[in-house]
Amino acid sequence: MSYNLSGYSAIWTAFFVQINVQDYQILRFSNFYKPYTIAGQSYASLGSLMSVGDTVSELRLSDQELTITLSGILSSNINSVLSYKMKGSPVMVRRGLFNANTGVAIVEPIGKFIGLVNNFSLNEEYNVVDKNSSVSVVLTCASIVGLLQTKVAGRRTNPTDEKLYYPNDLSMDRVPNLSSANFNFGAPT
Amino acid sequence: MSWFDDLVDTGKSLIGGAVDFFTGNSLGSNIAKTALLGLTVNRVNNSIQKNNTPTPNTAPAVDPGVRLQSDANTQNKIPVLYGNATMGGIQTDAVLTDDQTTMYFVYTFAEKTGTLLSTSAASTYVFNDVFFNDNRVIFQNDGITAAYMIDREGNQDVSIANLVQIYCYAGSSTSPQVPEYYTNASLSPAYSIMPGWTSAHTMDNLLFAIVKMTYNKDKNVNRVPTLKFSITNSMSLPGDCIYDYMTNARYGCDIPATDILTV
Repeated sequence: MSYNLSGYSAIWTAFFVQINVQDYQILRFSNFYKPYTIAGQSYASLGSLMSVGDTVSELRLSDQELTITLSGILSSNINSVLSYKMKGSPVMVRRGLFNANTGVAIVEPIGKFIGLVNNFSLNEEYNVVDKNSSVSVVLTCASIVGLLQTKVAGRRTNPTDEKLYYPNDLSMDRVPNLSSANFNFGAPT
Repeated sequence: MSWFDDLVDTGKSLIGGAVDFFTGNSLGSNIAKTALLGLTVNRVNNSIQKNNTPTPNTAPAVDPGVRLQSDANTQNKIPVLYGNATMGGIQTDAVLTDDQTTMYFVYTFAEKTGTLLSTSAASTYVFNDVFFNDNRVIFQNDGITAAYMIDREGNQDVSIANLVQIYCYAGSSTSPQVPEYYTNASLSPAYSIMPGWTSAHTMDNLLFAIVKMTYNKDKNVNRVPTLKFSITNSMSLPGDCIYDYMTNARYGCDIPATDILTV
């Protein structure tokens, strides 16, 4: 889909991030200047405290990673960051285009990236004057395409694989012993 | 002189002539003497050999059987079958009976697929044909016991009749079925066929077959055969197959169905 932006003297682009933190709740925030509602869900405005790393627009699906940086977090809140299971949390990033003069959406936010939080890191910035510090959280997100490329599924003919799906099934239990077994078929007893 | 005296005189003259021939020194008599000597030596030699030949053992030779090796392997991957395919199967069990005359093999073919998106019906399977050493097997009325084979030229071979039985299962040990065009209302679960199996041998969501072979050297039923099974899955439409593979957690991508727009 293409949009004619030639009539606008300036545009804003904003990213809207949704993270479903396991055993916690769904976090929604954006780098837009004000709270914004998409599909009935409100996205908190972090403004410049949130940034999304460079992405490459490709026609084909690719396994590129994405980084989301949240800065300005007080060091007292770090414990809560570490307490939740950020790794493995599903991430969805939408991108919208806005008129820079009016703040009205030119293009409603649409899907940009779907994946999982693959890793995260904490960077502390200490202010010697105020004697306090703030922390940046950098979330590294793996694309769902990349995850599918490394995903291993299916069964092999061994008891370990079989019991992974069907713990009580004994059908494959003899395969390891059979792999080098000989039978004297028709030999006199 | 009677006719009898004439006959005696003629005999004397013939014998006398023959004696004169052999006692003579002509070229012909020498060749004849050499040939006669050779014949005599040959007869004597044969007579000696005949006397020295041991008496043949009249007991039949004991068949030592055949040493078979299982090709089961823990690294074999169970494939997924959509539509129709002819496949050999992966050996996952083998048992030789105590009298060593009957072998049972379990061949696993494929994962059982899920529900069709288009009809919401479960996948169903048909065993179209079974090929034994590249020959199509024709079963007896029970759909299990082999009656004969047909090769590519249409020739019939009855050598496997009553010696090979093939039990097909589509989904689990308790899902027996017979090949296409056969009916049998009294099929048994796999654990009733396979020696040593119990109801805990469930073979969940697997297509497989048990092959029972009775040893017969004269009819060449003494080797692990090359078996091929032609199987059709009711899941064959591209949309059904892609959706199944994308969403299945066991052998597919395990993508949540809510993430897939199916309209």
